[in-house]
Amino acid sequence: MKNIFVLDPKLYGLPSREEMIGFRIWDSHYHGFFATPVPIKQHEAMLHYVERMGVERIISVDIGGTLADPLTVMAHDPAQLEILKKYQSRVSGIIPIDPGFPEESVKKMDKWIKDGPCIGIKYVGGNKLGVVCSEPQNDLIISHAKKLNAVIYIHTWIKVGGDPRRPGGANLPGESAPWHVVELAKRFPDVKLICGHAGGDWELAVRTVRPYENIMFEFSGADPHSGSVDLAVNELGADRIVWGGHGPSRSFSTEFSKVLDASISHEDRMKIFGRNYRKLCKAMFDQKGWSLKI
Amino acid sequence: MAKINRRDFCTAAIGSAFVAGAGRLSASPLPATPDNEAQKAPFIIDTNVSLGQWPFRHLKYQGAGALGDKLKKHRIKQAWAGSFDALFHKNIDAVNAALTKECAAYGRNFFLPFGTINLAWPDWEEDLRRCHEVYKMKGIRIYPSYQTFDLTHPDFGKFFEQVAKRKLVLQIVGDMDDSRNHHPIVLARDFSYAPLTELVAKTPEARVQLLYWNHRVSAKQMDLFVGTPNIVFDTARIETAGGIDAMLDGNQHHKDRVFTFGGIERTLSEIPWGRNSKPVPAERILFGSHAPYFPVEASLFKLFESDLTLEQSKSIMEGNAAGLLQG
Repeated sequence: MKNIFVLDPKLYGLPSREEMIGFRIWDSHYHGFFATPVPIKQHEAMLHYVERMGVERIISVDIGGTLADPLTVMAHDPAQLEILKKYQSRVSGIIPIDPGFPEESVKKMDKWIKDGPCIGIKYVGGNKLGVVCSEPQNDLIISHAKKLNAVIYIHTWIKVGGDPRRPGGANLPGESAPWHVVELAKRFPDVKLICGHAGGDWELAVRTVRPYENIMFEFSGADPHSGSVDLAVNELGADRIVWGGHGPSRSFSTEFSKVLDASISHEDRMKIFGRNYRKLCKAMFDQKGWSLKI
Repeated sequence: MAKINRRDFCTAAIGSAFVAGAGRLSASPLPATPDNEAQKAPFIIDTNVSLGQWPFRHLKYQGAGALGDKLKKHRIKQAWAGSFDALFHKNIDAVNAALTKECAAYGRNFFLPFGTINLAWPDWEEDLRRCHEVYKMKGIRIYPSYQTFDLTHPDFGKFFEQVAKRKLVLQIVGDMDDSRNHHPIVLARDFSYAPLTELVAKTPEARVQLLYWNHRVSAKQMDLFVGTPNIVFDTARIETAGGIDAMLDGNQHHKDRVFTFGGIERTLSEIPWGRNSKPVPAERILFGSHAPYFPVEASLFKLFESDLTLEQSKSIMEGNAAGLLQG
């Protein structure tokens, strides 16, 4: 493989592109279709950076509808469906759902996951009825996801605010925090749940989810803080962490740096960059008849 | 950019699951490489690092010893250092003295101390004098959002002129962290960089660098700053995929880049995300990592994520900072 960089990254204490490819990076939080009037065009442009940075697979979190209107059929839905089918070897998708409308969410899961190419669901950062992931109506959604072997990603954040100011005091209506994921995890101890964005405040989030082995942790979408992945590995273990890129709103470099900064083994980096997520969706790949080497 | 052959990519991606020697990358010494390539590769001047104690967390590479040794592993030959203590301390001179001492103790002029001034505290002029005349500093770093003054403060114009007259670089920090993550007891203040345009026009010898500036510079403001050559920017919080690419091209008229994905040759000719401002010349961007708060790897990798020419890389890594310091 030719080196596509004008300078050798190894001279700067960074892994080469070949080494990045060797990590088998799965971007579990790809936003290529997000927040734009031209989602397909944006995705096409993003592929340049996906390829350049050696990412093996992207998992779009914006398939079907939009994050603001997860249950509304959008004009670009057919094009997304086509992309997922045509580029199955490199592109996967999970669908945003709305816990305020559990029955409709289940119908969407059947359409896109059971009868379509998608592999999981995403709880987005807020919703119209202000329903967080711990409320009882989520049980229908999670039970159905379990039946389908679907990946479950939950956007979480702990936004400081309110009066008096406190962690989580500025969360949006329906925006889950890690403690909401904990409540859900207790009810479904045999279902893996991804606590997204490391709760925004990884120091508090790690403490919150630590005892619950079925909660996984994902860091994308927040500023890179040196030492954050070290703490998560020490407290949760490398087996509970998955990696997300959050592009194009975040740079791949920002998200890579969180893992590269950590004083962890090559084996643990392999787990975080992709292996853990591959394990998570192995059953789904198998039932769809897709080959997957963990 | 060279074309990427999909077959090569997929073979490498799936076949080489384990790459020897990649463990503990952040702690590895620089590898041996062919002399000619190493010789042409620029070193880096990091214009945005901090010593002292971050008030809310013990940082992994805290202090001159740990941070200096870390930065050197990434081909960084010089670092401009402020002090975290500048955010809250009232005895600013003690902060500046301690910073100077810590930088000197590490040796070989690796860290250049950038002292701070707080216009909200009395007799800031004496602090400025000491930074320049006693501690022999090359620059001043201020943190308006924490130091409780903004750029409309009655003394700011006077301060700005005096810094320029003393031929010091002025660094103005927009943010230290995402405000959503702040400790609940902290309510950092909002401020605007807008007054700089007029101040710089009146003081053409001024040299100003904005650090972690991104939340406080709109596309419209950036257009004004692009026309103000003595305002430059660090890389610490340049986000979006290919963020430096996007800045250089104003997110609009991108040079064509051919690549292959899914067996289909494609051309990237536009980046349809991020702010749309006038293109920012590479001469106006300086490497600044915000280490040890951010991993230094974040800014480093951005230099590779964006498709920079060797000349652009050299400018951003080293040349622009050296030029700014020389005046």
